[in-house]
Amino acid sequence: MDRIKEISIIRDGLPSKVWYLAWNPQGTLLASCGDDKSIQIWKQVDVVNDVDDQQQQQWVMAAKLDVHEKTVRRIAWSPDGKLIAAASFDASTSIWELSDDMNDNENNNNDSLEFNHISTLEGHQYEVKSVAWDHTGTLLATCSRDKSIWIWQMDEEKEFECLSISHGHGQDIKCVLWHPTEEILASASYDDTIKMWQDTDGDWESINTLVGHESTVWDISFNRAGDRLVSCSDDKSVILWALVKGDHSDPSQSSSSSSSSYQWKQSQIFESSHSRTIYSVDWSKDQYERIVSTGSDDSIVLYEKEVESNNNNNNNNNNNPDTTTKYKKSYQKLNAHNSDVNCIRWCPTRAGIMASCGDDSTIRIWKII
Amino acid sequence: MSDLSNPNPVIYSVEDDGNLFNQQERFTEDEDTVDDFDVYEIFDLVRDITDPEHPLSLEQLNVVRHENIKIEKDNNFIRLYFTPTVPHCSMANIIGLSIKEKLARSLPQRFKVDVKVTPGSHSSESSGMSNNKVDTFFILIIIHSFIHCKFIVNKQLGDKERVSAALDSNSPILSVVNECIKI
Repeated sequence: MDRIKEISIIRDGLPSKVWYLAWNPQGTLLASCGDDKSIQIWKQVDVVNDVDDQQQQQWVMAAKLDVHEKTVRRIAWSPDGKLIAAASFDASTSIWELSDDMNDNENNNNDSLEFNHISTLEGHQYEVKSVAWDHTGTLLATCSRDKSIWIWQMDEEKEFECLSISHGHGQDIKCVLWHPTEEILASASYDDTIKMWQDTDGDWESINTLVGHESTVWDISFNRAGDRLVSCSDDKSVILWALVKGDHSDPSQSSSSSSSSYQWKQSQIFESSHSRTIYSVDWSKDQYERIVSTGSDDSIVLYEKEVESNNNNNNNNNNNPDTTTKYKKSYQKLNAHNSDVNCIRWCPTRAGIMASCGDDSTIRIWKII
Repeated sequence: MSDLSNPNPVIYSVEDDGNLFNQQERFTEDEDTVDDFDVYEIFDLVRDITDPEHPLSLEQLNVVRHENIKIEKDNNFIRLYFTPTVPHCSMANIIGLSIKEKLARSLPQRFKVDVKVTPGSHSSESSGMSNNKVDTFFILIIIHSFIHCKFIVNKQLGDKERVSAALDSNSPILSVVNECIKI
């Protein structure tokens, strides 16, 4: 049975290579970016199909934001959905604010939205690869091929100040991601590792290094509790990591920091989960807590929890991650796109809905059935 | 021109098209039949790319050979192995990028193209040097730098984000690559 059903597709107005997409926190808008140097904002409208009277999803372009001189690689919505940060190969990060006039526009049945370019963050030496807001919406992290991570603080006037420049990765940093509830930053790199960073007397320092992948780590995602992490790599594997609290650290384990009070340990690996490089992975924050991955083999892979029947076993060994729920690869959708799929993200408000984008110049909306 | 990484490259004679295969047989006359790509067509696309350092083609320098092109027709995979003339990472990168870019611009989007340094291509070079009684230590350094360079070049060429950034608009590398593929 086809478990991943395409329910909508966006074809017109996209870059030839769509590098990334992001749902706003309300799940009503999609932002996308790519090699045309712009950011596109898409709004869902419901239309009734003349043929079968069924309501269908359609997406219309609500805004196109142009300021960068090169490819826009990744974008991030602030937690309140009012700001967008965009990381570009031109070594800068732009900040955009949704205009308050939006509500008037909506009442007028006008589908266009207005965003104001309020800031540009400069300082990285080479391409900025990723940008992420923390859960409070006041800290922003950026990372670059220059091997550094910059932490920026936004004040009430929406002015940005760089708090810290961190080094630690030996290579190009592909993405940064904040912990869902704590002031902990995760990063993934061309040096094949993932690192966790924390504010240590004003400097953001690496507190954990997760070693396990054998090539570039392209993307990471926390589960909703923040005690598990999933990563995907050029080595074609997907790894699940679990947070182990306490100081029962096993020296043979992968973390290099023995002094920290918690460790991230590899809890499960899906080797050869795709036949080519895996570019994107996302852990859904709904009750199903599904994982999805995609990449250069044009396919989408779905991972779901194994049926839980071993609650008693968990109590036997407290040193093990309490999050021992195993996942199984439950479905693979082949030829989801006509070329590399660069990004896939769950809708934050509707369980089982996700969006993907790729080098075939499309965004596709999927439903798990 | 003393800073060339390979001032005296070996030049190979270019095979005559007619000796390789019959030009006529490559194309079906029936327009409705989909032409399968073969290694000679891929080879035709890359043979005239020029070396960044010499006014010589990759075919003349024996950097690309049709027998080092593999096609998996079922899943549209194309693998092309190239043999850099010298263990110079940046030059090998430029050659690899030029091949990749030429194929990306020429082939339909459904193809997955991997461009890599020929496996084991350097062992023959180093054994040839030992015949010339070059210091063994020196050879080991060369072999090491070959292996190290191959790893770096293969990983960079396999990273489409870095390839895209290198070939983004106004990039200085893009103009070098365009020069090599004569755009």
